[in-house]
Amino acid sequence: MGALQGTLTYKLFYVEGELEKDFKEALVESVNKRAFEPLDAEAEEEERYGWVPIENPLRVEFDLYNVLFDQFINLGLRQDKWGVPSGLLKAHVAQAESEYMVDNNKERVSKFEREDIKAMIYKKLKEKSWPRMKVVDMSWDLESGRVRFWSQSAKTCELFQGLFEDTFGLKLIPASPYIHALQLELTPEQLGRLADISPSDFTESSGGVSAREELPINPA
Amino acid sequence: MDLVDLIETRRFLGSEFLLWLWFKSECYDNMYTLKEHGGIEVWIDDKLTLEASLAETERNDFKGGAPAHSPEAKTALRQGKRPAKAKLGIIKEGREWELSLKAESLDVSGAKLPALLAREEDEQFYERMYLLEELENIIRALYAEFLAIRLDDAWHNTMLPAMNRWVHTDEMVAAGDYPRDAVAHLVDSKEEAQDAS
Repeated sequence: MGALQGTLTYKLFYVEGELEKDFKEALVESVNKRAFEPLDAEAEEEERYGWVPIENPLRVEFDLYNVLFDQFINLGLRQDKWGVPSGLLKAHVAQAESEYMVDNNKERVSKFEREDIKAMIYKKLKEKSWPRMKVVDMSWDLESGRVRFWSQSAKTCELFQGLFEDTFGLKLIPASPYIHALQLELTPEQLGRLADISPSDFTESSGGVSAREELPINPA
Repeated sequence: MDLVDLIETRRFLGSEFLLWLWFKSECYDNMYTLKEHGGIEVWIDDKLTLEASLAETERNDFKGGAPAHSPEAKTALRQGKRPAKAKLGIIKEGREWELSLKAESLDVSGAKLPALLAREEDEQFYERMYLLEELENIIRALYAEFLAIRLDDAWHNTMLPAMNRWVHTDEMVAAGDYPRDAVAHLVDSKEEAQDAS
Protein backbone atom coordinates (compact mmCIF):
# COMPACT_ATOMS: atom_id res chain seq x y z
CA MET A 1 0.00 0.00 0.00
CA GLY A 2 1.06 3.59 -0.46
CA ALA A 3 2.75 4.19 -3.76
CA LEU A 4 -0.20 3.46 -6.04
CA GLN A 5 -3.10 4.38 -3.77
CA GLY A 6 -4.12 5.13 -0.23
CA THR A 7 -2.96 7.56 2.42
CA LEU A 8 0.33 9.34 1.93
CA THR A 9 2.00 8.66 5.25
CA TYR A 10 5.62 7.81 4.74
CA LYS A 11 9.19 7.99 5.96
CA LEU A 12 11.64 9.77 3.72
CA PHE A 13 15.20 8.48 3.33
CA TYR A 14 18.16 9.82 1.40
CA VAL A 15 20.42 7.34 -0.39
CA GLU A 16 24.14 7.72 0.16
CA GLY A 17 25.88 7.00 -3.14
CA GLU A 18 24.52 5.88 -6.48
CA LEU A 19 23.93 2.66 -8.35
CA GLU A 20 26.41 1.61 -11.04
CA LYS A 21 25.59 2.87 -14.55
CA ASP A 22 24.78 -0.65 -15.75
CA PHE A 23 22.75 -1.41 -12.63
CA LYS A 24 19.78 -2.89 -14.52
CA GLU A 25 21.37 -6.31 -15.01
CA ALA A 26 22.28 -6.73 -11.36
CA LEU A 27 19.07 -5.14 -10.07
CA VAL A 28 16.67 -7.99 -10.86
CA GLU A 29 19.13 -10.64 -9.68
CA SER A 30 19.73 -8.84 -6.42
CA VAL A 31 16.02 -8.33 -5.76
CA ASN A 32 15.24 -11.95 -6.68
CA LYS A 33 17.78 -13.11 -4.09
CA ARG A 34 15.80 -11.31 -1.41
CA ALA A 35 12.34 -12.06 -2.77
CA PHE A 36 9.67 -13.01 -0.29
CA GLU A 37 9.29 -16.75 0.37
CA PRO A 38 6.01 -17.95 1.89
CA LEU A 39 5.99 -19.27 5.43
CA ASP A 40 5.72 -23.00 5.97
CA ALA A 41 3.48 -24.20 8.82
CA GLU A 42 5.73 -27.24 9.28
CA ALA A 43 8.81 -25.08 9.84
CA GLU A 44 9.86 -23.49 13.13
CA GLU A 45 10.08 -20.01 11.59
CA GLU A 46 7.52 -17.59 13.01
CA GLU A 47 7.90 -14.80 10.46
CA ARG A 48 9.44 -14.04 7.10
CA TYR A 49 9.97 -10.95 5.02
CA GLY A 50 11.24 -10.06 1.58
CA TRP A 51 10.47 -8.13 -1.59
CA VAL A 52 7.34 -8.51 -3.70
CA PRO A 53 6.35 -6.61 -6.85
CA ILE A 54 4.48 -3.44 -5.97
CA GLU A 55 1.46 -4.36 -8.09
CA ASN A 56 1.01 -7.93 -6.86
CA PRO A 57 2.13 -9.06 -3.39
CA LEU A 58 1.34 -12.71 -4.24
CA ARG A 59 3.86 -12.83 -7.06
CA VAL A 60 7.48 -13.39 -6.16
CA GLU A 61 9.16 -13.23 -9.55
CA PHE A 62 10.83 -10.08 -10.70
CA ASP A 63 11.75 -8.58 -14.03
CA LEU A 64 12.63 -5.03 -15.00
CA TYR A 65 9.01 -4.36 -15.94
CA ASN A 66 7.69 -4.88 -12.42
CA VAL A 67 10.60 -3.18 -10.62
CA LEU A 68 11.74 -0.24 -12.71
CA PHE A 69 9.24 2.50 -13.55
CA ASP A 70 11.18 5.14 -15.51
CA GLN A 71 13.42 6.72 -12.85
CA PHE A 72 11.71 4.89 -9.97
CA ILE A 73 12.54 1.55 -8.42
CA ASN A 74 9.32 0.32 -6.82
CA LEU A 75 9.11 -2.64 -4.48
CA GLY A 76 6.84 -3.92 -1.75
CA LEU A 77 8.20 -5.16 1.57
CA ARG A 78 6.05 -8.15 2.51
CA GLN A 79 6.11 -9.41 6.08
CA ASP A 80 4.19 -12.55 7.03
CA LYS A 81 3.79 -13.67 10.60
CA TRP A 82 1.97 -16.53 12.25
CA GLY A 83 -0.58 -15.21 14.66
CA VAL A 84 -2.56 -17.80 16.59
CA PRO A 85 -4.97 -15.89 18.87
CA SER A 86 -3.83 -16.35 22.48
CA GLY A 87 -7.36 -17.00 23.80
CA LEU A 88 -7.92 -19.78 21.27
CA LEU A 89 -4.52 -21.32 22.03
CA LYS A 90 -5.16 -21.21 25.78
CA ALA A 91 -8.55 -22.89 25.45
CA HIS A 92 -7.21 -25.68 23.22
CA VAL A 93 -4.21 -26.25 25.50
CA ALA A 94 -6.48 -26.51 28.57
CA GLN A 95 -8.66 -29.05 26.78
CA ALA A 96 -5.65 -31.08 25.58
CA GLU A 97 -4.20 -31.11 29.10
CA SER A 98 -7.48 -32.46 30.53
CA GLU A 99 -7.59 -35.19 27.88
CA TYR A 100 -3.94 -36.06 28.51
CA MET A 101 -4.53 -36.42 32.27
CA VAL A 102 -7.55 -38.70 31.69
CA ASP A 103 -5.73 -40.80 29.08
CA ASN A 104 -2.66 -41.20 31.28
CA ASN A 105 -4.47 -41.43 34.59
CA LYS A 106 -2.68 -38.40 36.01
CA GLU A 107 -3.88 -35.74 38.43
CA ARG A 108 -1.61 -33.02 37.05
CA VAL A 109 0.78 -32.39 34.19
CA SER A 110 4.43 -31.48 34.66
CA LYS A 111 6.04 -28.30 33.32
CA PHE A 112 7.70 -30.22 30.47
CA GLU A 113 4.52 -32.07 29.53
CA ARG A 114 2.65 -28.76 29.49
CA GLU A 115 5.25 -27.23 27.17
CA ASP A 116 5.05 -30.23 24.81
CA ILE A 117 1.28 -30.07 24.71
CA LYS A 118 1.37 -26.35 24.05
CA ALA A 119 3.88 -26.74 21.18
CA MET A 120 1.81 -29.53 19.63
CA ILE A 121 -1.44 -27.54 19.86
CA TYR A 122 0.26 -24.39 18.51
CA LYS A 123 1.51 -26.35 15.48
CA LYS A 124 -1.95 -27.84 14.86
CA LEU A 125 -3.62 -24.44 15.00
CA LYS A 126 -0.92 -22.97 12.75
CA GLU A 127 -1.64 -25.61 10.12
CA LYS A 128 -5.31 -24.64 10.15
CA SER A 129 -4.70 -20.91 9.85
CA TRP A 130 -3.17 -18.38 7.47
CA PRO A 131 -0.27 -16.12 8.40
CA ARG A 132 -0.96 -12.42 8.74
CA MET A 133 0.36 -10.51 5.75
CA LYS A 134 1.58 -6.93 5.75
CA VAL A 135 2.90 -5.18 2.64
CA VAL A 136 4.48 -1.73 2.67
CA ASP A 137 5.57 -0.07 -0.58
CA MET A 138 8.82 1.71 -1.20
CA SER A 139 9.57 4.00 -4.09
CA TRP A 140 13.13 5.06 -4.87
CA ASP A 141 13.49 8.07 -7.12
CA LEU A 142 16.87 7.51 -8.75
CA GLU A 143 17.05 11.11 -9.99
CA SER A 144 16.55 12.83 -6.65
CA GLY A 145 18.09 10.08 -4.50
CA ARG A 146 14.98 10.08 -2.28
CA VAL A 147 13.34 6.90 -1.05
CA ARG A 148 9.79 7.00 0.26
CA PHE A 149 8.70 4.12 2.46
CA TRP A 150 5.01 4.03 3.28
CA SER A 151 5.25 3.41 7.00
CA GLN A 152 6.52 5.42 9.94
CA SER A 153 6.70 2.50 12.37
CA ALA A 154 10.24 2.51 13.80
CA LYS A 155 10.42 -1.31 13.77
CA THR A 156 9.21 -1.65 10.17
CA CYS A 157 11.47 1.19 9.00
CA GLU A 158 14.48 -0.51 10.63
CA LEU A 159 13.64 -3.81 8.92
CA PHE A 160 13.26 -2.01 5.59
CA GLN A 161 16.52 -0.11 6.00
CA GLY A 162 18.43 -3.36 6.56
CA LEU A 163 16.83 -5.15 3.60
CA PHE A 164 17.41 -2.15 1.30
CA GLU A 165 21.07 -1.86 2.27
CA ASP A 166 21.60 -5.63 1.80
CA THR A 167 19.90 -5.57 -1.59
CA PHE A 168 21.48 -2.49 -3.13
CA GLY A 169 24.71 -2.13 -1.16
CA LEU A 170 23.97 1.54 -0.47
CA LYS A 171 23.35 3.26 2.85
CA LEU A 172 19.99 4.84 3.68
CA ILE A 173 19.84 7.95 5.86
CA PRO A 174 16.46 8.71 7.48
CA ALA A 175 15.37 12.31 6.97
CA SER A 176 15.48 14.63 10.00
CA PRO A 177 15.87 18.38 10.48
CA TYR A 178 19.68 18.00 10.44
CA ILE A 179 19.78 15.71 7.38
CA HIS A 180 17.37 18.00 5.51
CA ALA A 181 19.69 20.89 6.34
CA LEU A 182 22.66 19.03 4.85
CA GLN A 183 20.71 18.64 1.60
CA LEU A 184 20.48 22.42 1.25
CA GLU A 185 24.10 23.03 0.23
CA LEU A 186 24.90 25.27 3.18
CA THR A 187 28.03 27.41 3.25
CA PRO A 188 30.93 26.31 5.50
CA GLU A 189 29.99 29.14 7.89
CA GLN A 190 26.38 27.96 8.06
CA LEU A 191 27.51 24.37 8.62
CA GLY A 192 29.68 25.58 11.49
CA ARG A 193 26.75 27.38 13.07
CA LEU A 194 24.50 24.38 12.53
CA ALA A 195 26.91 22.32 14.61
CA ASP A 196 26.98 24.96 17.37
CA ILE A 197 23.44 26.22 17.79
CA SER A 198 21.20 25.40 20.72
CA PRO A 199 17.42 25.75 21.16
CA SER A 200 16.04 29.29 21.39
CA ASP A 201 14.02 30.51 24.32
CA PHE A 202 10.65 31.88 23.26
CA THR A 203 9.39 32.44 26.78
CA GLU A 204 11.43 35.57 27.48
CA SER A 205 8.85 38.27 27.86
CA SER A 206 9.80 41.84 27.07
CA GLY A 207 6.32 43.14 27.85
CA GLY A 208 5.91 41.81 31.37
CA VAL A 209 3.30 39.17 30.52
CA SER A 210 3.15 36.29 32.95
CA ALA A 211 4.81 33.20 31.56
CA ARG A 212 2.93 30.92 33.94
CA GLU A 213 -0.72 31.22 33.10
CA GLU A 214 -3.04 28.32 33.81
CA LEU A 215 -3.74 26.23 30.74
CA PRO A 216 -6.67 23.82 30.47
CA ILE A 217 -5.61 20.31 29.44
CA ASN A 218 -6.56 19.49 25.86
CA PRO A 219 -9.20 22.21 25.50
CA ALA A 220 -11.97 21.33 23.05
CA MET B 1 30.18 15.29 17.56
CA ASP B 2 29.36 12.37 15.26
CA LEU B 3 26.50 12.27 12.75
CA VAL B 4 24.12 10.40 15.07
CA ASP B 5 24.63 13.01 17.81
CA LEU B 6 24.12 15.86 15.36
CA ILE B 7 20.91 14.27 14.07
CA GLU B 8 19.55 13.76 17.60
CA THR B 9 20.62 17.10 19.08
CA ARG B 10 19.33 19.17 16.14
CA ARG B 11 15.78 17.81 16.19
CA PHE B 12 14.66 21.03 17.94
CA LEU B 13 15.06 22.79 14.58
CA GLY B 14 11.86 21.07 13.44
CA SER B 15 9.75 22.68 16.16
CA GLU B 16 11.44 26.07 15.69
CA PHE B 17 10.69 25.78 11.96
CA LEU B 18 6.99 25.12 12.64
CA LEU B 19 6.88 28.02 15.09
CA TRP B 20 8.50 30.36 12.56
CA LEU B 21 6.00 29.21 9.89
CA TRP B 22 3.17 29.91 12.32
CA PHE B 23 4.53 33.40 13.08
CA LYS B 24 5.17 34.31 9.44
CA SER B 25 1.79 32.97 8.30
CA GLU B 26 0.08 35.19 10.87
CA CYS B 27 2.10 38.25 9.87
CA TYR B 28 1.39 37.83 6.15
CA ASP B 29 -2.11 36.32 6.20
CA ASN B 30 -0.65 33.01 4.95
CA MET B 31 0.78 34.57 1.77
CA TYR B 32 4.33 33.69 0.75
CA THR B 33 6.41 34.12 -2.36
CA LEU B 34 9.15 31.59 -2.93
CA LYS B 35 11.66 31.98 -5.71
CA GLU B 36 11.11 28.50 -7.19
CA HIS B 37 7.36 28.33 -6.57
CA GLY B 38 6.00 31.85 -6.94
CA GLY B 39 3.04 32.92 -4.79
CA ILE B 40 1.78 30.27 -2.40
CA GLU B 41 -0.44 30.13 0.68
CA VAL B 42 0.64 28.24 3.80
CA TRP B 43 -1.35 27.99 6.99
CA ILE B 44 -1.66 25.95 10.18
CA ASP B 45 -4.90 24.04 9.71
CA ASP B 46 -7.22 22.49 12.30
CA LYS B 47 -4.77 20.29 14.22
CA LEU B 48 -1.84 21.40 16.30
CA THR B 49 0.13 19.62 19.02
CA LEU B 50 2.29 21.57 21.42
CA GLU B 51 4.71 19.75 23.69
CA ALA B 52 7.06 20.69 26.49
CA SER B 53 10.58 20.02 25.23
CA LEU B 54 11.83 18.45 28.44
CA ALA B 55 8.68 16.58 29.40
CA GLU B 56 6.96 15.07 26.40
CA THR B 57 4.03 14.01 28.54
CA GLU B 58 3.10 17.66 28.97
CA ARG B 59 1.22 18.03 25.76
CA ASN B 60 -1.70 19.99 24.38
CA ASP B 61 -3.63 18.69 21.39
CA PHE B 62 -5.73 21.31 19.68
CA LYS B 63 -8.34 20.05 17.22
CA GLY B 64 -10.95 21.83 15.14
CA GLY B 65 -11.40 25.47 14.25
CA ALA B 66 -8.22 27.50 13.90
CA PRO B 67 -6.04 26.43 16.83
CA ALA B 68 -3.14 28.63 15.75
CA HIS B 69 -5.31 31.66 16.50
CA SER B 70 -6.55 30.43 19.88
CA PRO B 71 -5.50 32.13 23.13
CA GLU B 72 -4.96 28.64 24.62
CA ALA B 73 -2.25 27.86 22.07
CA LYS B 74 -0.50 31.15 22.77
CA THR B 75 -0.66 30.46 26.50
CA ALA B 76 0.96 27.07 25.94
CA LEU B 77 3.78 28.76 24.03
CA ARG B 78 4.31 31.15 26.94
CA GLN B 79 4.61 28.12 29.20
CA GLY B 80 7.50 26.88 27.09
CA LYS B 81 5.69 24.36 24.91
CA ARG B 82 6.72 23.99 21.28
CA PRO B 83 4.98 22.68 18.16
CA ALA B 84 5.45 18.90 17.95
CA LYS B 85 3.09 18.32 15.06
CA ALA B 86 0.95 20.55 12.89
CA LYS B 87 -1.55 20.01 10.14
CA LEU B 88 -0.69 22.38 7.32
CA GLY B 89 -2.57 23.59 4.29
CA ILE B 90 -0.71 24.70 1.16
CA ILE B 91 -2.11 26.24 -2.01
CA LYS B 92 -0.08 26.77 -5.16
CA GLU B 93 -1.58 27.79 -8.50
CA GLY B 94 -5.07 26.84 -7.32
CA ARG B 95 -4.00 23.33 -6.23
CA GLU B 96 -4.33 22.46 -2.57
CA TRP B 97 -2.34 20.05 -0.41
CA GLU B 98 -3.01 19.00 3.19
CA LEU B 99 -0.48 17.28 5.38
CA SER B 100 0.69 16.78 8.93
CA LEU B 101 4.30 17.57 9.65
CA LYS B 102 6.11 16.04 12.62
CA ALA B 103 8.62 18.43 14.13
CA GLU B 104 11.25 15.93 15.28
CA SER B 105 11.66 14.27 11.87
CA LEU B 106 9.86 16.60 9.45
CA ASP B 107 8.03 13.45 8.32
CA VAL B 108 4.86 13.90 6.29
CA SER B 109 1.73 11.99 7.28
CA GLY B 110 -1.88 11.94 6.10
CA ALA B 111 -1.02 13.98 3.02
CA LYS B 112 -3.88 14.77 0.67
CA LEU B 113 -2.86 15.71 -2.84
CA PRO B 114 -4.71 17.88 -5.35
CA ALA B 115 -7.17 15.86 -7.49
CA LEU B 116 -5.45 13.50 -9.93
CA LEU B 117 -6.11 13.92 -13.63
CA ALA B 118 -4.73 10.55 -14.78
CA ARG B 119 -7.09 7.59 -15.15
CA GLU B 120 -4.65 4.69 -15.69
CA GLU B 121 -2.94 3.19 -12.63
CA ASP B 122 0.59 3.66 -14.05
CA GLU B 123 -0.08 7.28 -14.90
CA GLN B 124 -1.65 7.87 -11.49
CA PHE B 125 1.55 6.64 -9.85
CA TYR B 126 3.67 9.17 -11.76
CA GLU B 127 1.20 11.96 -11.02
CA ARG B 128 1.12 11.07 -7.31
CA MET B 129 4.91 11.08 -7.17
CA TYR B 130 5.08 14.36 -9.09
CA LEU B 131 2.62 16.07 -6.73
CA LEU B 132 4.35 14.61 -3.68
CA GLU B 133 7.74 15.82 -4.87
CA GLU B 134 6.26 19.26 -5.49
CA LEU B 135 4.95 19.28 -1.92
CA GLU B 136 8.35 18.17 -0.56
CA ASN B 137 10.06 20.86 -2.62
CA ILE B 138 7.77 23.58 -1.23
CA ILE B 139 8.51 22.42 2.34
CA ARG B 140 12.21 22.26 1.48
CA ALA B 141 12.13 25.86 0.14
CA LEU B 142 10.36 27.07 3.30
CA TYR B 143 12.85 25.19 5.49
CA ALA B 144 15.74 26.68 3.49
CA GLU B 145 14.39 30.18 4.15
CA PHE B 146 14.00 29.43 7.85
CA LEU B 147 17.52 27.98 8.11
CA ALA B 148 19.10 30.91 6.26
CA ILE B 149 17.70 33.17 9.00
CA ARG B 150 18.25 30.70 11.85
CA LEU B 151 21.96 30.32 11.01
CA ASP B 152 22.58 34.05 10.81
CA ASP B 153 23.03 36.78 13.45
CA ALA B 154 19.67 38.12 12.29
CA TRP B 155 17.98 35.30 14.20
CA HIS B 156 19.10 36.48 17.64
CA ASN B 157 19.21 40.16 16.76
CA THR B 158 15.78 40.57 15.21
CA MET B 159 13.76 37.41 14.45
CA LEU B 160 13.83 35.89 17.94
CA PRO B 161 12.87 39.18 19.67
CA ALA B 162 10.05 39.65 17.13
CA MET B 163 8.78 36.11 17.71
CA ASN B 164 9.00 36.61 21.48
CA ARG B 165 6.87 39.74 21.21
CA TRP B 166 4.36 37.73 19.15
CA VAL B 167 4.32 34.89 21.67
CA HIS B 168 3.58 37.35 24.47
CA THR B 169 0.79 39.30 22.84
CA ASP B 170 -2.80 38.33 22.21
CA GLU B 171 -3.14 41.07 19.61
CA MET B 172 -3.23 40.20 15.91
CA VAL B 173 0.11 40.69 14.20
CA ALA B 174 0.63 42.23 10.76
CA ALA B 175 3.31 42.41 8.07
CA GLY B 176 5.03 45.22 9.97
CA ASP B 177 5.71 42.84 12.89
CA TYR B 178 7.87 40.58 10.71
CA PRO B 179 11.46 41.92 10.63
CA ARG B 180 11.71 41.72 6.85
CA ASP B 181 14.41 44.37 6.42
CA ALA B 182 16.82 42.51 8.67
CA VAL B 183 16.41 39.21 6.83
CA ALA B 184 15.71 40.35 3.26
CA HIS B 185 19.33 39.79 2.23
CA LEU B 186 19.15 36.18 3.45
CA VAL B 187 16.13 34.98 1.52
CA ASP B 188 15.05 34.94 -2.05
CA SER B 189 11.42 35.66 -1.31
CA LYS B 190 10.03 39.01 -2.22
CA GLU B 191 6.60 38.84 -0.69
CA GLU B 192 7.42 41.15 2.16
CA ALA B 193 8.60 43.87 -0.16
CA GLN B 194 5.47 43.46 -2.25
CA ASP B 195 3.15 43.55 0.73
CA ALA B 196 4.85 46.52 2.26
CA SER B 197 4.77 48.62 -0.90
